[in-house]
Amino acid sequence: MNRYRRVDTLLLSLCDPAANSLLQLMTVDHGELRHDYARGPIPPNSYTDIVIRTGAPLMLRNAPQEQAFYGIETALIGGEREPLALVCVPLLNTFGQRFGMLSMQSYTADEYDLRDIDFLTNVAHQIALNIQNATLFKQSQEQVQQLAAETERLELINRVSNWSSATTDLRELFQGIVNEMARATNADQARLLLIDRVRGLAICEAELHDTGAVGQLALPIAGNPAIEWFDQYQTPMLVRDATDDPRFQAAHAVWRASNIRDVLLVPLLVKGEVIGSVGLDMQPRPCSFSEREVATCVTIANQVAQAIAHARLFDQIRRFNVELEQMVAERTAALTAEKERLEAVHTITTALTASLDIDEIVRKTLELAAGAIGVPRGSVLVRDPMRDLLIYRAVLSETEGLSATDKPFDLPSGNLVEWTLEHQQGVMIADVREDERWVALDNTPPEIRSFIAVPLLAADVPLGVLMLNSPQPGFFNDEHMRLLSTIASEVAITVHNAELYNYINEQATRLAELLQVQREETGKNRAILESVAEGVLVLDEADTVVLFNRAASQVLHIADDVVLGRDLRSIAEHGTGDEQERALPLYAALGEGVRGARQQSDPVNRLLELPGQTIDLTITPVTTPDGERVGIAVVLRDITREIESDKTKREFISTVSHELRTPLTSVKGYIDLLLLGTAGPISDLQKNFLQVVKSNADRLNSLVEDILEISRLENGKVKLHIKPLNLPDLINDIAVSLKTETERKRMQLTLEIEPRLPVVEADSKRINQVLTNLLSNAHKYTREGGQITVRAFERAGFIQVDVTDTGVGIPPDELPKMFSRFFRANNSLKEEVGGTGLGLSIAKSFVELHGGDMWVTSELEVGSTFTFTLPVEQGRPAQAEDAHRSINEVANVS
Amino acid sequence: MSAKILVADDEPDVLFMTAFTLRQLGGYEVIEARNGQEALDLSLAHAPALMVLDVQMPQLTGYDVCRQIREHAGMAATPIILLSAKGQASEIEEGQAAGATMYMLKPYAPQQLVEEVGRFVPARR
Repeated sequence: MNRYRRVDTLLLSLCDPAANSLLQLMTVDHGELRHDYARGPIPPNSYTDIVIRTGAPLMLRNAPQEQAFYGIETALIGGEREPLALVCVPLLNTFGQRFGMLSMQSYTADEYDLRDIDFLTNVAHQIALNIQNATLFKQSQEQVQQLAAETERLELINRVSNWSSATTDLRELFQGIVNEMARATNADQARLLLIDRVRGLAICEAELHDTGAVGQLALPIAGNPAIEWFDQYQTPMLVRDATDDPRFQAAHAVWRASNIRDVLLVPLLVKGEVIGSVGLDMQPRPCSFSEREVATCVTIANQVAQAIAHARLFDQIRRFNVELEQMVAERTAALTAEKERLEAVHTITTALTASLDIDEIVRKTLELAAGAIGVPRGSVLVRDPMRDLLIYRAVLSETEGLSATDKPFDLPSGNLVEWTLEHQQGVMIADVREDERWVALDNTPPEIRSFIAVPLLAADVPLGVLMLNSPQPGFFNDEHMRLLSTIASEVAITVHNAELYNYINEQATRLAELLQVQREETGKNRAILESVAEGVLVLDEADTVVLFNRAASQVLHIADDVVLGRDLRSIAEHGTGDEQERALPLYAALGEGVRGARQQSDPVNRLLELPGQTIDLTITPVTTPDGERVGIAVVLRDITREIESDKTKREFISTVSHELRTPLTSVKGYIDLLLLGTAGPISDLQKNFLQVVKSNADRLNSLVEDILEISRLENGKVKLHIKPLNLPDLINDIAVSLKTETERKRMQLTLEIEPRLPVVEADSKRINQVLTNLLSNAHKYTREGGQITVRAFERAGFIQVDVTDTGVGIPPDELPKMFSRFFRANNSLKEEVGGTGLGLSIAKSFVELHGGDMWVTSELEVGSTFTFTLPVEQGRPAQAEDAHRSINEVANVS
Repeated sequence: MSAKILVADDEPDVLFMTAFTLRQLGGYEVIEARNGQEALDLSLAHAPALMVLDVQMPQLTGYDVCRQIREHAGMAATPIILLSAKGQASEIEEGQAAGATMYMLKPYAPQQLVEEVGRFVPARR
């Protein structure tokens, strides 16, 4: 350029106008190239700024004078001193966008003219092209580099995952991590520490260059800044100029000794948990631990994490396996020993269990036990519960061999056999001559020196004792005791089984005999039940029909094979159409009755109305004499005809009574009219005769009324009109109305009414009838000058009324019949008084309708007491009828 | 002029007795009806001050007569005494529903009838 024009300084600036940043500034000052790394914003109102903003070339002939005109503020750029003349042109890329400025500058004023602008513009164009080319080249190079780096990273991942998945050895994995990270970072030393949170230590597991730290170096976790960092961020920690970092004061000395400057700490994460860290140390070196290297380390750590998790699991399983194998080995050894012992016992018990004969068992036991232990002598004592004695059931000796005896054990008390049985423990005597417990007898054979005995126990009940002896002192040992104890318990069970077998056998025989007797008995009973006229149906406790006699079949119209041996429900399920219509209500009534009988264990009575048939059911629980419930018996009676005839009878009575009233109306009415003299005067004799007719007509009338009342009671047509009733007032009223008649017979009528009697809920008309009847009877059946007492008092939730007279009384044998219809007790006043014999029956029915009771006590020729009770709290019937109250009822007054 | 009472009964003996009682003991003028229909016709013709009706009459019963009488404006309040040989709660209710004023059970005492009638229509003696 200098060849063409005087150029003191050439300046090239490259910018990113969009970001308003200056990327590079380059000056050539008198042929010397200078770089200036002044990256940063484009200085405002600098030449670059103005050219980039305007896009137009700029020429100053004398800069200090013209700068103000263009608003340029920047002073010296690049050169040694401020240029006086300068030309600035923008650098344009192929799209015409400005990306820099080229400026030539001279220290001489008026150095440049307009042609220089063209010239510099051409130069700038060339430079712009070159720069663009260079930039493109650089970009493609960078891409190649990135690709290479990525390839390298993938290779690394591939390599790491290859070796890490190939091993389950944790130590190998740890060493691999250390090696890979050191290789990726060119670190001088690398160590892997595993965090043991239980012990609160981080322990060295691997290092790049062996310094003996593995397994030796252990740092406390608490206060360790790296681990605190990991726990919080789970990211690597890069410490530059580590020996200046105040956080790592504790490590400064170590690092200084190894000339360490930068340290990279990478966490090992398994399932989000920090399990360890890798520390990489770097001696002073430029550009240590680049971002990419750190990222690579993280990649390695992540890559290996899964392998570590697997390896740890594998390690754990392996350790379990080892423990298990050890346990199995120990158990096997124990079992082998046990097996050997059991084999000996098995030989004996197999031989024993085949037999249920006690003598046989005991003999074999003794023989086999003596054989197993190797002694020639012994015996077995078995308790005989009948005689309460111990018997030598088996004896073994060299001379006589094995024999069964019936000899009782007869040593004086305090002997070893007794002790064994009492303590339920075996006993061993090493030398009978030196043991105080041994009861020496004259006939003790001299060849007995040592002795062993075990109890035979079945369910902790001592059955006997197994004893062995040896001529050799101290012959028996603990092993023998264990063997004998085992044999003894096996034998005891066998003996016990044998005893049980005998017992069961006897019982079975007895039961079989009993069963035979019962079977015959049952057969008889069944035949009787089959032939009775009443239908009988018997259920067992599971509601299965076990008996269904001919009469039952006839009453229910069900064949016996439909229900016999089946559930009661089969009654409901049988038949079709009309049969079903009968079956369902029948089953419902039976089922309900059976449940009722089960619950209250008393007989239950039910009336079952079927279309055209009425059946009376009596359902009774069947119990054995011991009170054990065995089933339910149902007695069925077809009472259709009884019901029908009863109904006809009642209807007849009702009709007849009504028909009688009409003629009675005339008879009574005309007599009354005659007596009133409406048909003309009558003589005294005529009057007397008419009175007789009238009183008989009245009797006939009251008979009709009583019969009608009974008929209503039987038809259930009597409805009570329950209201609060003041009983004392009612008694008073009736007493007053009877006053004339009692005075005529010079009788004394006394009322003894408890004060403050509670009000009862009752039908006052009916109770009036009851009281009137009782008082009227008392009056009638008491002779002149007698006494009548009415008492009323409260007792146990009832009000009791006693009507006592000093009358003729009732013979004791007639007392129970007093309330029967048409019954009239025999007494001297019977004929004189007259009566229908229905009044008391009606009165008792009324009281019972109220929930009360009525009874009589009497002594002949002394007097009678008629008593009735009414509950104090009488439930008010839901259908209390007061409807006709507004019509005056005259009927009962007439 | 004594008050008119209508008496209806299909039993001639009873009819005569009732009529006789009311005439002799009560001094009333008595119109006799031998059945329900006659009772209805005569009561409409004579507008009696009170009626004594037997319940059990053929064709038109005492209830029927009672019901029909009550439909005539002039006789809506005429006292009606029903006489019956039955006297069950259901009958008393039916009588009340038919519009009867009172219910008396047969056999009745003559003086009693006169007394009851006198409560509605004063007797002459």
